[in-house]
Amino acid sequence: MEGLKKFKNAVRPILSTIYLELKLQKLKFIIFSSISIVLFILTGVIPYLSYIPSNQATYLHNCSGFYLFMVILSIGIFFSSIICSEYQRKTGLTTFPLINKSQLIIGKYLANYILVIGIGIIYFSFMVIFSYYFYGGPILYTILISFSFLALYLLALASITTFLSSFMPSTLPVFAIIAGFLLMGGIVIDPVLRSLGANLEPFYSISYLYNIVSYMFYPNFSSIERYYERGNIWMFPSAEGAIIMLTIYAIVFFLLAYLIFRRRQL
Amino acid sequence: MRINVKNKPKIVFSSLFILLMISLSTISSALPDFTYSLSLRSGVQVFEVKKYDEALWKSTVNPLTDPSNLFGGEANISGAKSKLVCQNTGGNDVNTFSIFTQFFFRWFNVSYESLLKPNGYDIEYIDGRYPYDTLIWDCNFGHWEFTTNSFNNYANYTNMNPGPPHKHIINLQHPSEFSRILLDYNDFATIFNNDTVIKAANYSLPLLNGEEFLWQLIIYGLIIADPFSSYLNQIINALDCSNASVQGNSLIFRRSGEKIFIVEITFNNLGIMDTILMKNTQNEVFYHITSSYPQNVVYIVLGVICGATLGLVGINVYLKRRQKKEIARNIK
Repeated sequence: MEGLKKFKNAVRPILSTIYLELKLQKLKFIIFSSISIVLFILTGVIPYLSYIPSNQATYLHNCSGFYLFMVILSIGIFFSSIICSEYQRKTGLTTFPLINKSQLIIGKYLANYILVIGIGIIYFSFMVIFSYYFYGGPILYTILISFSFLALYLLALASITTFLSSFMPSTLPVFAIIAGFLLMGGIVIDPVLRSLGANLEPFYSISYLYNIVSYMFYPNFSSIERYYERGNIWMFPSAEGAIIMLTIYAIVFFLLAYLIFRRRQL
Repeated sequence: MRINVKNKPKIVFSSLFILLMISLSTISSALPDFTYSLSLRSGVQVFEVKKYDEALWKSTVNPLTDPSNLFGGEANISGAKSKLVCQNTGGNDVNTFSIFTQFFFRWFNVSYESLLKPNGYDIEYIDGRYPYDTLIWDCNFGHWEFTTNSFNNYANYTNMNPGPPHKHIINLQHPSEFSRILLDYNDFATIFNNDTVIKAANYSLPLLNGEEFLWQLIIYGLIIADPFSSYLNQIINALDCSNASVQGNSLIFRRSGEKIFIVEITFNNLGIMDTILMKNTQNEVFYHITSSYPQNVVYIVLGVICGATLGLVGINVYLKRRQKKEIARNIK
């Protein structure tokens, strides 16, 4: 009974933080949802009015490829200020804080994650609607598997951004680093490693890990060739490899962010 | 007969007008065709066998066949569905060999590698004998045959790109050219059938009349261009089909099997067959295929989403206004 009461007391501030954060970020969420719908219409509807790929899976694969852009934007906008804004606003100077640091970071992290997942759900719903529009039923069940990987991917990326936010002075550098990391990481690191003759699967590249989301739509996913020896190119990670790596990224970076946030004076 | 001087200009103008009309109609009939446009765009269409009266089919069409011989798959079962996904379309200029391949050789399972080429009827021979280029539209479809099960979207993914079974349909940009193609084919079939080697192999190509040609086009999937009724009329005229007529977007065809029966094919606004109705001369329908369009479901869903969004915005605005009014009242 005592334990349950303690648990309730610990959870209530987290839920309040989630509720407050959801309310604060409502406008951002609406704007980003609208942007993702516009992006989808521009990349997933208009180009396909005169030509569609031979199968539903390729259509979904192409559409989800463009979603990476939204992932960068939404993660950057929602998570880059998650911790550094507390330092900027000097919330640590509050005389009687109603919430401790752990509850604050968990609450904010979960709330922003819900919002980012919400945007993903909207984008994927439109993908489902328009794949039905172009190809009819039945809709591929692989969409659900792909979305599960997207959820895990967003969790990992959210942790990395939260980690960056825990020691960066402001939002802008966090956003710049995460965008640069996603867009340029593979382009810069891959050729260097290739020139060294290394045949490493690029698990270090978070843009490479995103490929699991777009390749998962193919029902024959497990039999598609992942590595092209000619050119030394890795196309996408295996399901097991992606799960392990994304989980490690999510846990390690969140713990690191949490530890830095706890030790640092607000 | 005396002509009133007052009426003279009227008569002159009327005569000129009639002359102009006659010359215009002569010019327009002398021109091969006016320009047609293809309305087809990417999307999906689902066909469903609504009615199949087996007894009436056997007594009217042929006791040895059923609809599956014409439309494939399980087209002989009421409720069976077929799906056609238009992937892309394009304009092209092709030679006679390509036209023969797309139409006759495919319909009659004529193998180029094992039958035509070894006997000297190769591409050079056909294109040399019939040296015409024909403007066509290429239409590529994913095609699921009639089935009573749900469509298998998971088959044939041997690698990333392949998908469902593919269907390629061509249609002519100038429907008047159907007559030349038929003449060329019949000429070729006559030469081919008279070849002693082909005779010895006990093989022959059927000679077609215009109606048979049109029927084969319909069975394989005829796509028409806009304006539809004009396009259909021009096909009928070009193929000299006395048993076919056009009513709006519908083609009505009188065929004879065991008895005479009527086939009504209605085309949708994309130029694809929408419904196929087969009935006897007593107007008893014995076979009926209809179409549905999943796009319509999407329009409803999008409408509901838009409506719900507008509703939410409206409620939000209303609540905020009421809140503001209440605050103002409280301040007063």
